[in-house]
Amino acid sequence: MRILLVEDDATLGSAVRDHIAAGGHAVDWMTRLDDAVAARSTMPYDLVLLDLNLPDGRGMDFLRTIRQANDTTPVIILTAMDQLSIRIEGLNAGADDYLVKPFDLSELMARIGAVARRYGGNPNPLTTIGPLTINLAQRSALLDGRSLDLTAREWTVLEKLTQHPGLLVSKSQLEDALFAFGAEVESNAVEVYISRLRKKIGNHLIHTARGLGYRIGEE
Amino acid sequence: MTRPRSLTRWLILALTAGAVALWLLAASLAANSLRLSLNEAFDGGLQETAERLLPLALDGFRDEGDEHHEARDAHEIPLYSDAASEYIVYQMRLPTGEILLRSHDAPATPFDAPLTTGFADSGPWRIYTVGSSGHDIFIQVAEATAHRSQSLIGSILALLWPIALLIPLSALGIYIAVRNGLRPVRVLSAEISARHATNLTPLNVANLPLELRPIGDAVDGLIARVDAALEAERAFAANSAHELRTPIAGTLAQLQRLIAELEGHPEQDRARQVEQSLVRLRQLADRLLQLARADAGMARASGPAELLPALRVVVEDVRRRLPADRPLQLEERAPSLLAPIDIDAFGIVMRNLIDNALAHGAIERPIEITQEEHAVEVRNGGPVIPPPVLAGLTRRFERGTSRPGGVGLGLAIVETIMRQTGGELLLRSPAPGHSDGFSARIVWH
Repeated sequence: MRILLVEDDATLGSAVRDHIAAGGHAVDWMTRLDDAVAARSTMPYDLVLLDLNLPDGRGMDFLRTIRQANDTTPVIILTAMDQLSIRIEGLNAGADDYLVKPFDLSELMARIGAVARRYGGNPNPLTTIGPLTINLAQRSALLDGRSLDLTAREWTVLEKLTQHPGLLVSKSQLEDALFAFGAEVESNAVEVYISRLRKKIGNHLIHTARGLGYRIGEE
Repeated sequence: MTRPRSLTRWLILALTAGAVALWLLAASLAANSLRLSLNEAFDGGLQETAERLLPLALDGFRDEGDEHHEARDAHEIPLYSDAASEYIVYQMRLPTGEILLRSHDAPATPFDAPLTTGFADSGPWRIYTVGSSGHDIFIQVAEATAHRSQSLIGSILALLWPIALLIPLSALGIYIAVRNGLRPVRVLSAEISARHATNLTPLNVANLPLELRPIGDAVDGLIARVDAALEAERAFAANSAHELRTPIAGTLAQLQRLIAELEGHPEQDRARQVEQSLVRLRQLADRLLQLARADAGMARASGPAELLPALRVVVEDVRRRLPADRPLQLEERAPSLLAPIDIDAFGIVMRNLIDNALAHGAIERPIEITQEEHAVEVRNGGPVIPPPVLAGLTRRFERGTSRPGGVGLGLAIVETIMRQTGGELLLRSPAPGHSDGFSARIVWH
């Protein structure tokens, strides 16, 4: 997934960015609202993590703006304000979830996964594709009942493909999910991760559509 | 402690006593004036009687002497009626003092008064003496001073009894006037009494009398300062919560990253211990700031609010962070939940009750939340809590005996908020309908 993190606290922001990136996702971290608006205008995001108190405005206004523009990107609010009224205001404004600081990074990852699954149209964390069973909530995969050892990047590619089984996912979509702004991307990086995945789960499950992208499925 | 002085009572007593004293003074002056007038009138009557009686008595005495009648009873003139008595008596006397003639009730001995024209007082008598033109015979007409006193007393009593009747009437009038006059004071007092930590609206001073306006304005000024101070305290607590949480969140997140990066290293255990301490610090800071906000009077709302959606949000929020094998059940028994409580305070109450149930309840039993129209109950499994322990659970920094780790403030915060909103926190163990467990019920009557 490609995630937009809007958080002005450097200590928290860097830890959240690193943790999500370690999970194999691409994270663009912005500390100001105007930067977040600019990033959103140039890149489609799978999820936005939004702080409410930012140096140049309120996160709630940013949320209302993107919802008024019919943008359905999932948004999780991260705030130090624990008031129930603000929580309800956030949910009414279109937030998908709400985490009060301080939070556990593992809980943040679980919420990210749950929201992403909800938006992927498959809230069930278990997906089975032939001999492959994928648990998106636990970030684990079994092949013929045997546990697979996947790196974070490999997992991100598998997760992205599994969100829409049978449908094509373009190379650029996979790159967006893998790499943040400014990251050095090798031209064949996606092919490398696809190749590694095929070695672990078998060649017959990931199919290449030349010039278009990849899809996962038995056929 | 002495009972405070009643201004109404003091005014009624002082005004009534003053009025009575003034009436008595006026009555005394009137009585004295009456006494002088009566004496003057009685003296006039006595003098006139003596002057008219003298020629008649002289004629009678001479006639008696000419006819040589035998004296019937020496010199006493009999009464016309046996039952009658004389208010005025007289003696006819020679210059030597000898009594020639006397009325029936006059003393047989001569009056102790000189035989010269004029008034004299002698013992119980007021006497007027007048002599014949040759000063050979004198007549002394006397009136008993007791008779005059009786007349004076009768007159004074006639003056006083209407006053005696008027005293209770005037006291009643004063009471009504004072009560009506002090009504604005009572209204102001009631207005001030209605102000407390959660009602700091300005007084209604528009209809106050001129004399009470400065008090109303001063109290309004004081209320405004208290309100500003409480608002500042609430804002401080809320801002502190925000300012404190962010660095804790950053530190905790960095620490959790470090723990992840130390996978397989022995230092990871030490980092986990630091993480546990930080989590505990987070809980303590959270509870202390909640308590500060509750103590600043943030709980009471101006009227009943619909809280069922808020309850669902809290329950759903807790559910999301619970493992699947730790069920949280919400039973809605009424279509609404109405209570005069601020929604954020309600959130604090519910989170504390649920966190308490999660921290101390039996893991294998679900947390049951039951909602009614004016109440919410949170039940959990677990051993029965002895009554002495149960009674102390709402004291600050009091921890239950089941499990360590709590801060000991959750139920104290809940009770503080419930008290502010006119509600009640009821703790029971075993939980109703169960042989064990614990129940915390918040209810608004």
